[in-house]
Amino acid sequence: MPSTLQVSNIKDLTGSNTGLSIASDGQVTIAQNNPTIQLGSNTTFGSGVSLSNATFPDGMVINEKVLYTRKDALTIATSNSNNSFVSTGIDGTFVTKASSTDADMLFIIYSGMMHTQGTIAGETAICLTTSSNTSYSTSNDLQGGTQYKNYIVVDANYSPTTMVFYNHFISYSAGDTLHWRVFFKKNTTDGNNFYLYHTGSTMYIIVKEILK
Amino acid sequence: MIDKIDAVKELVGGGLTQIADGSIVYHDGQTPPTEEEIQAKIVELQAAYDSKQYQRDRASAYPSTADQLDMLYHQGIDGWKAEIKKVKDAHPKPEST
Repeated sequence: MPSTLQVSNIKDLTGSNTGLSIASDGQVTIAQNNPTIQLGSNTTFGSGVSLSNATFPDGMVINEKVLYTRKDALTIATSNSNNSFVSTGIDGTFVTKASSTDADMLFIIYSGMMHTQGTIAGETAICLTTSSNTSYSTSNDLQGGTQYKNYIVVDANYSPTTMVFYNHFISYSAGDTLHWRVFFKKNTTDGNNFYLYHTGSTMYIIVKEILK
Repeated sequence: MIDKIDAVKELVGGGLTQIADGSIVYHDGQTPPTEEEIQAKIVELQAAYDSKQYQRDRASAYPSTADQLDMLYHQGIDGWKAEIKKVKDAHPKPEST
């Protein structure tokens, strides 16, 4: 025979502490700092469950997102002899999960075919800004003014290349919308090209936030 | 494989960057060529590249310098020439080039 228990609070045996409260709309609040809740097999969470206030352990990846992919017949290359970083036209935005104080940020660029013509060097950088900015600045660069930024010399050859960019310098808060952009340059003043991505290959860019 | 930037570089020279959407950035104030000029140059450069395929094939098929020196020592100049001829015959120069 069905029965209904109507209470607003459940307290401990001494009546000193309220362990569970039920509001008039049925919302249940567990007022306990160290609750033990054992969920059995086949536990199913309803939709809209939020862990936004949860504390996760150090080293946990709290954000891993594929920002960019391509597989086409358009090379990304430069013969610019000004020895300066130029925008690749590869850019976008994402929302941070944690602040730069609480998490490390890594960008990973994989290029299925990087190439330098002749014995030239190429460098790649990622800048983070609050709005789109096609001009390169060391103050926006994840690697700041570091002299060699993913410096590569492939002597007139082709090579699949993975580059990792750690954020050493840019500060931001959790929930910020950041604009990222890839820049590159060749380091010699001859007429050769530096290919970040060669026609017919594949490329992707991933961002990760890892709790400190 | 000839890229758009290779063709534009042949046509106008100077500093160029081909970005992700395929457009060309001209760093030295060059006058951009027309799309027709670019496509014609790509065809021309690709033909020149393809005509030299036998050279690239031979280059990768020749024995190493150390092995060729060893051939000269043990087989003399005629033995060395015979080995080199095998590679040339395997990758003949096209009649038209």
